[in-house]
Amino acid sequence: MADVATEADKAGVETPTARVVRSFIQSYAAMMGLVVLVLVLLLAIFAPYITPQNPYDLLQLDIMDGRLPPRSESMTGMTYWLGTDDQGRDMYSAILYGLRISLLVGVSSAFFAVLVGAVLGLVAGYVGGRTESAIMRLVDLHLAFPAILTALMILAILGKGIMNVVLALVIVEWATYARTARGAVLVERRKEYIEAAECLVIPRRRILFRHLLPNCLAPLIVIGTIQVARAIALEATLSFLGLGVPVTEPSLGLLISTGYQYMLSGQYWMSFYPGIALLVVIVAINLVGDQLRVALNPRSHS
Amino acid sequence: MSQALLQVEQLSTAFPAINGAVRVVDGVSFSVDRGMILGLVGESGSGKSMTGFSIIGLVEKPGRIDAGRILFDGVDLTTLSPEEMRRLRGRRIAMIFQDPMMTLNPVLRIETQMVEALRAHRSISRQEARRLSRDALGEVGIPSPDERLAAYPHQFSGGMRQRVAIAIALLHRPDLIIADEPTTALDVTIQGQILAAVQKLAAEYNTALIWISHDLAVVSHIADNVAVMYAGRIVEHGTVAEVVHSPRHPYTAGLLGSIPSRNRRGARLAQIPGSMPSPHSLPVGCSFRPRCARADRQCEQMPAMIPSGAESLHTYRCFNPLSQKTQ
Amino acid sequence: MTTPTNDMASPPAAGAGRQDQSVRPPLWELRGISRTFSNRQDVVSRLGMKLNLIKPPAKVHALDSVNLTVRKGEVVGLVGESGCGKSTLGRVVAGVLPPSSGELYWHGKALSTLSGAERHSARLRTQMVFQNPFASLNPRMPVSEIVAEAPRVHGIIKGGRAAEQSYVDEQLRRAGLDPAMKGRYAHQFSGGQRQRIGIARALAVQPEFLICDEAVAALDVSIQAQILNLFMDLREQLDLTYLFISHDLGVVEHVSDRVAIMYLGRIVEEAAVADVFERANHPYTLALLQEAPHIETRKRRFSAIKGELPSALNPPSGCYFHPRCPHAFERCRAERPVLKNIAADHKSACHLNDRH
Repeated sequence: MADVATEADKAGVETPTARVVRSFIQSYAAMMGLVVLVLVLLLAIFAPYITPQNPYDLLQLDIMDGRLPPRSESMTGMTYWLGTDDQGRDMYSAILYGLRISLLVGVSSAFFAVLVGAVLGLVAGYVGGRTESAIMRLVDLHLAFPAILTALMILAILGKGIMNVVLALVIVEWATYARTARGAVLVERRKEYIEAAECLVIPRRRILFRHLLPNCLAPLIVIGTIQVARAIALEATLSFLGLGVPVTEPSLGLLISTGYQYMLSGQYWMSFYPGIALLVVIVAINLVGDQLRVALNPRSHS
Repeated sequence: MSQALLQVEQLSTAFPAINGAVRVVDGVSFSVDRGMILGLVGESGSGKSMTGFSIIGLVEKPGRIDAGRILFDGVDLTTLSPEEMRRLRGRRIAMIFQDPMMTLNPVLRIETQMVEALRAHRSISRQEARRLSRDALGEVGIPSPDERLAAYPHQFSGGMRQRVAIAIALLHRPDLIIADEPTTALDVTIQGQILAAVQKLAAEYNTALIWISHDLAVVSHIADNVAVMYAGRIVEHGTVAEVVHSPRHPYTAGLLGSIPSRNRRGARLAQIPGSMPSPHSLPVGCSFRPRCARADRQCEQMPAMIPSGAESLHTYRCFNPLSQKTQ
Repeated sequence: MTTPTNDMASPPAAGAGRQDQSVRPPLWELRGISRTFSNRQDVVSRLGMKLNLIKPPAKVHALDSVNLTVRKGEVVGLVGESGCGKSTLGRVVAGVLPPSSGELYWHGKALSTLSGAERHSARLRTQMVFQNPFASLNPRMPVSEIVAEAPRVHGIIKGGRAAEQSYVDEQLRRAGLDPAMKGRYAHQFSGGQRQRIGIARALAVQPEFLICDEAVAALDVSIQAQILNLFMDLREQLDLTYLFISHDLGVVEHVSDRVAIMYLGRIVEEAAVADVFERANHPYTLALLQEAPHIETRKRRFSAIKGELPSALNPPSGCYFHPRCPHAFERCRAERPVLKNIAADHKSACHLNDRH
């Protein structure tokens, strides 16, 4: 029977996920970042209910109300807390609606890019040989071009629009995930538990999806988080350059862009407040991503 | 009566934890004379490496020495400033690690590292330092030392790297060398070479040596005295002959009994049930109590180290020791 | 070499007490097994090699024409230092690494002649316990799943969840673990316990043959004793056959019936355990035995053998050991010695045996 009579075990079952969560909570900065993100998400989801105006509905806009400073009153008695832009949009409403677009674009492009990139990277890493070479050369090709350049070229071909932007971002981003996934697979593949699975004659496909994939997720999650921030910033840049979302449904980037020309004449609020909003979102995502990296790193656990 | 070179008194090293500080080294006392070799034996988690780090002042924050004295040639090391300790380290106390890459910088040539180590403590010319380095490499048995000086660590094999680390440790002819499992990662034939080199040099320069290891066999070959550690405390201390021939503490006996070569070939090994407790959850009283076949009510108190006989320096920490074997 | 301090009786012990080994059928037989490794070359390099612009990459001869037979019920110890190829040999037998040349025989039949199903059965009946207790278990699987997966996939467990759970419990108990802990994950266990989980996992597919690849090397001495006892108990209970790979001579001497010594991909000596440890023939074996520390009560002066382990990329000519051998002569540099019988059931590969 068990000779291991006295063992000071950790009480109960602790799943690997619980362990990660426990490690994540230990950083105040990351928790703050998480709180901010949740707040931002809620604001974005409930935007139609908490804004006095729908800035995308042209009927609600009055160009006579354009470029009013913060805390001005409208003709209808509504207060423009953050001022209005040159089209007469309430900045506060525009920022919240713009957040929706930015988050949508950022998260969905990151999600699909992970899907495509991770699968390709996993297959490349596990199967090896010519398949791996082919995929990795494609990845190299992709990464050789600057992201903005590629995105611009794609959007120039496809035209503007939110879905086109998402598509362009996916095409730009997948290569990073592929490379990360392959790297993770190369490391895990050598580990003895994979050898054990092979020894137990477990089918290859099962090894790939039940053994390798779950253990390669960690770096993908970390990169994914950071990439969401990057995608949002990239979309903002593209909109800034005029190739992103349509003018009538501005994202944060477009708001910053159109408001920029008024900066020097002292009407800072049209560019400044959307900029702050963008900054807050990106910093929060980065804080969360940083701590996730630490929490998911098996070596940093005691 | 000559004073011991190193006198450790009730040394305790602790790390902060959720419910207060946890001691990984607790009340450790021993002394080492000049030219003597002490073997510090224990399994993983016993605190033996941390004892070595504490002596040489390399305990990583947030850990710290929270009790006890370390008297080195009369000076209490725990009272020294980091700067004073740094002056002592390398010159009068040196350390060899299990992984020689902890000593060697992978991006610098061997020559650069050795010359730097020499000139850190002595003001000598570069040529003089180079000459001494070359001689040091020769002493540890590295062939063609002139060429090897220009090489990088990755161009050496594991055994050679360890020799270089030993050469660096010996550069200033320190009074004390602390060796933390230096041959554990090496193959048996290479281990033999390293042990031969260390033995010869220690004898030649009258260097005291603390040899930290989990391998009682190696320690029994090379050491004069041995101290056995369990869960942060020393549980038995004496000459190698005393401890190996006549262990008094049940753990020491169990450890010796577990070694395959001490059992009849093919027979079931004498095993100790269970495993060593972590410092976070030590049992009340004697830490070995849950695994000990000889434990009784007394053992709910922590025993003190008591001598084996009236004049004996063989001490152990147990209320129910094994009986002494007569010669 | 053993100093039997616990018992007055002299050997033979459990292993040799069994019936004469030469009568028992062979389980695994290796004939002329070689395995080389070289870096994978991509398209550009291969092109360069075709055009004679680039030299072909260096090859590591991890295994060089190895012959070994393991008979049913015996424990064969495989000893050597780093780079000797013992782990590679273990993996070839386990079926996770194909040999570059040579043939493997399972129950007397060549693997290449076996049908797919027979080969599948051979692989399943040969299992392995690994060295690193931390890397050998899937960190994201609970223990019950680690043990249950393979038997379930191969249809070894009949019945539903309840049957599966009781099977898992039985395997864990047999390996010395409390089944109540089966919902936990690997990181919640100590090194010794993790090895037990690995053993339970291997036993769950009901193997005949167990390869222990440095299975106790990473464990403390007292835990090592527990695991070694477990191996010996399981051998009795399940009539298992072992290939015990280790660099630790003391451990190998204790558990093995026969021992093979490897050096740089070749077997240099092979004999019953008593013969190897008391009447060693090959100079390398003698050096190993001399260098291996064992408990003594007096200090001992080390006078070590000279030289480093040669690199597997560039091995010496003739007998691989000749640069370090105190008795080397001309023939040793020129000609590779053959592993042949120098006494009944005692093989050695040394030219000195031909000199009389």
